[in-house]
Amino acid sequence: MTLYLAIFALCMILGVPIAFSLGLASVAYLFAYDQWQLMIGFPQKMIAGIDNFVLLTIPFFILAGNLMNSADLTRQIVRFAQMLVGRVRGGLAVVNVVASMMFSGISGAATSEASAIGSVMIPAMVRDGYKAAYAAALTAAGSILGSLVPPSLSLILYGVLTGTSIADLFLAGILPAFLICGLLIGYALWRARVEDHPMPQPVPREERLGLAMRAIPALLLPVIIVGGIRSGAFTPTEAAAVAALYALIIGGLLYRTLSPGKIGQAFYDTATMTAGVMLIVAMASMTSFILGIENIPRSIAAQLVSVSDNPWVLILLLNLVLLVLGLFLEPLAALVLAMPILNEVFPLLGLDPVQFGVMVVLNLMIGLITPPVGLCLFIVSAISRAPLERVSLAILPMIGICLFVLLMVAAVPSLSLLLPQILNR
Amino acid sequence: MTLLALERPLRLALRYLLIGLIGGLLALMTTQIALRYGFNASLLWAEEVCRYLLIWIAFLAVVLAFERGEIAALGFLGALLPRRPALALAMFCTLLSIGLSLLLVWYGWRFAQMAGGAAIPALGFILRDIFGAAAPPTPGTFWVYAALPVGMGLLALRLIADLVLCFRTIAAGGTVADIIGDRTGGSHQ
Amino acid sequence: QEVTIKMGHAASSQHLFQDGLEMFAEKVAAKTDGAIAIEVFGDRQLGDDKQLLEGLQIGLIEGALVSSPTLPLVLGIQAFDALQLPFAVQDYGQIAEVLGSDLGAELLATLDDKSIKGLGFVEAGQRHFLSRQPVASTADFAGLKTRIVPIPLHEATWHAVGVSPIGMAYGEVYSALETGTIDAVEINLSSVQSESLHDAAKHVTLTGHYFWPGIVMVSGRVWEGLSDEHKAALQEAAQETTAEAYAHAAAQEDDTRSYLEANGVTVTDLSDLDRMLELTAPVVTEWSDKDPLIGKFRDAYGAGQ
Ligand code: NA
Ligand code: NA
Repeated sequence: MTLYLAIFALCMILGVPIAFSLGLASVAYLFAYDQWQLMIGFPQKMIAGIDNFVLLTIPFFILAGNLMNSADLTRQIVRFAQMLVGRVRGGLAVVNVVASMMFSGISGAATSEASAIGSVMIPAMVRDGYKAAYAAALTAAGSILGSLVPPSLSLILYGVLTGTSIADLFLAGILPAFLICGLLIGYALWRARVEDHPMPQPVPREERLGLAMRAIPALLLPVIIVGGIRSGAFTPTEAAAVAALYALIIGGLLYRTLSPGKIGQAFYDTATMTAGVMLIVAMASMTSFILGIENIPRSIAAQLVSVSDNPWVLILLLNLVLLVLGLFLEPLAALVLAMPILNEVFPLLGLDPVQFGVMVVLNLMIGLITPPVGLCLFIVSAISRAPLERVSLAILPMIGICLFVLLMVAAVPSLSLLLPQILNR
Repeated sequence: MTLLALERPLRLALRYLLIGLIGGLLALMTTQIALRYGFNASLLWAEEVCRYLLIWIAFLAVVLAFERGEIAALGFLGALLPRRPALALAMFCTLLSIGLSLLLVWYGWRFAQMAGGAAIPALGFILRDIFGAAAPPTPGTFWVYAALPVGMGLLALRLIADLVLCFRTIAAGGTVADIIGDRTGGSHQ
Repeated sequence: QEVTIKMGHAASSQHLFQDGLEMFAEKVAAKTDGAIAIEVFGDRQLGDDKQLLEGLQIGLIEGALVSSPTLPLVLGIQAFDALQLPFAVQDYGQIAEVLGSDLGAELLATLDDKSIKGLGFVEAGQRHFLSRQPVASTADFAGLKTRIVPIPLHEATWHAVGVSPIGMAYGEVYSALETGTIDAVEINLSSVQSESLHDAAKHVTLTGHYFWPGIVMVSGRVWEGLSDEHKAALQEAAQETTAEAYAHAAAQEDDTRSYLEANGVTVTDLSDLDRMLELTAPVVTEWSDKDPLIGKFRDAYGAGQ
């Protein structure tokens, strides 16, 4: 196993794409341990890793995001957020966080949220005199809301892998998301006072009604999705297709900003972005096969349990393992890899499976904004042209906020379970 | 030269194929919801066909995702190095990726041949629905599994082109950034 | 210890498949004085049913226990449909007896061509009907959106019964039952318990329409590598496992039934099971003509009546 990790880390540091680093480490492992006959299983595991109905949510949520973006919806949402909350010192930073919260009801993944909000908010903040690294970091931190508020790819995948109610998981993610949102706003306001951030321009009065009319239909999407799932109209996986269809309809018919050319481009972009995610999932499937035959998940779980049988210690240790996984891996791949360990340890924790799901997903999302491999960090750093190291530094306090909320989710069951309980009555 | 002449139409074909596949996926899934919710019916094969479409989309688009820089990689080491070592490093990484791609083409093809004999169940349902008892033989899962060697093969070709590009760039005195610029520039045609 | 055989299955580690393979492992160890160790990997650690079967063929997987409906699909051996003819089998005892006979061996021998050695059978439990609304008589099936495994035999069967068969990934069944996306699912009681499906739907109708055998297999490569003595030991162990696994599944079904009733599930019989049987009889006839071995199984089940 050490060999596997060493090759993986080495390839990654050299600059081999992460997906290929996983694959090369698998090949090296099979070669070194005289298991070359298993090489024929490599393509099988890659295909099987993708051959999963739930993963269809990936192209559809990406498509919904792309269509909303081509329909110029992100800009509308940002303007709408500015109209609602922009009249304070450092208002644009607050707008960034609030727009992330609004957009999280449309996007299924943190990464699509980072690029959508980032492409509008970061240039606007930089133009107003904010440091690029700060604007980028705030966008990245806000983007993890995308995976906590329904629709959420990671929550769906967790629900299906563990057989937990996805409708409940969706509701359970909402309060923690609001908590993160509130704390990030508080932080932004504090920074604004200390660093004397500017007051933004007000949205002209005559623009306001039109803005609300255009933004509100889009903001209804999470309601449609949760409502549709709970009423049994469609399954959580199908909800992703509904989201894409909804985006197509409001962009094409309501706003009339979508042309056939733009739709075609959005479909095409969706295909390539899907391939980028799927390649990592495919390669990670081979890794989890190797881990499986070596019984690694069981032995990690056994080691965790051997440290202590106190559920609290176990929860902390488990979070630590997940955070480390999240440091290097994309959340879906990490979820696939971690699932056997989670299955072994979960019964000992005495947690509700829904609460546990929110905790696991939030944990992996934090991995998206922590160096070295934080996909959201990469995205915002590319958009802002601020060096990755600067953004990494700027985001540290925000990671602290997220870790605090993670602890709260683990310690306070009602933070996640309150909404599902109320709505199940 | 002939290869280059072929590149443009190939790219265009791939583009429309992918747009069609994504469109098909969306159409099939929404039909399925409408049928079940509105008409209490279901296409038994829809779930399976959706999965197979996803497999083809994922592997066919890998090469384009790579060209557009959507396959995540760490670039800090290359950025720290001076021009020539940085190019050498990029070539080394490309070589590793080519090796893995070719290995997967070879084993992917063998796997498709060995395990691809079974009829595709979904197509069986569709063909029986259309032709009844006179249904022609159902194609095998080979046609699903072939997506991997085809996709990795296209990627290998692209990576080899990258390698050639690196050689030329060294000779011409350019930097890694020139190649990456070339790469993203290539995707917007 | 000379040889370790890693055997995978796709069910959870609380499932009857796990028990069956562990049973097999104990017997093999006893019969070979520990020379052959069977290591059991549940929870899809080595892959799902389809991957396990493919893996056996390409030499990636050493051994597996796979649900019988997957075999016609992945290997193209239609004869395995013989194990799921609707209402053909009386009870656990009868199917265990038929599978333990030469006919069972004849069915397993159809795997030889696929470089797989079939050894025995482990039962996952007779299938019943779990629904959101009570089903009292056969007429109540009409139009119920019922998740079935999308294979031709099951489609024909449930079409004949009159439900609206729905294709859906297994992972989505819980949520779909809970929210009413589907009305029902045909399933075995132990899976209702292990997947907590009784939290989502409260009515079980004991139809027992067909059984759900799994096939114990090792890859041809592993099999060829064994001495004749060890081969015999494995076959004997599997034969004994088949008998015990069926007795175990029958006993477990009673326990599971009590568990479900204690958890608020109403478990009822169908008032006119004869009617359901009548509706599906043409399917049995149709399928018996598809493969001579299916006909033989039907006759063997019939002989026990
Ligand atoms: Na979301
Ligand atoms: Na990370």
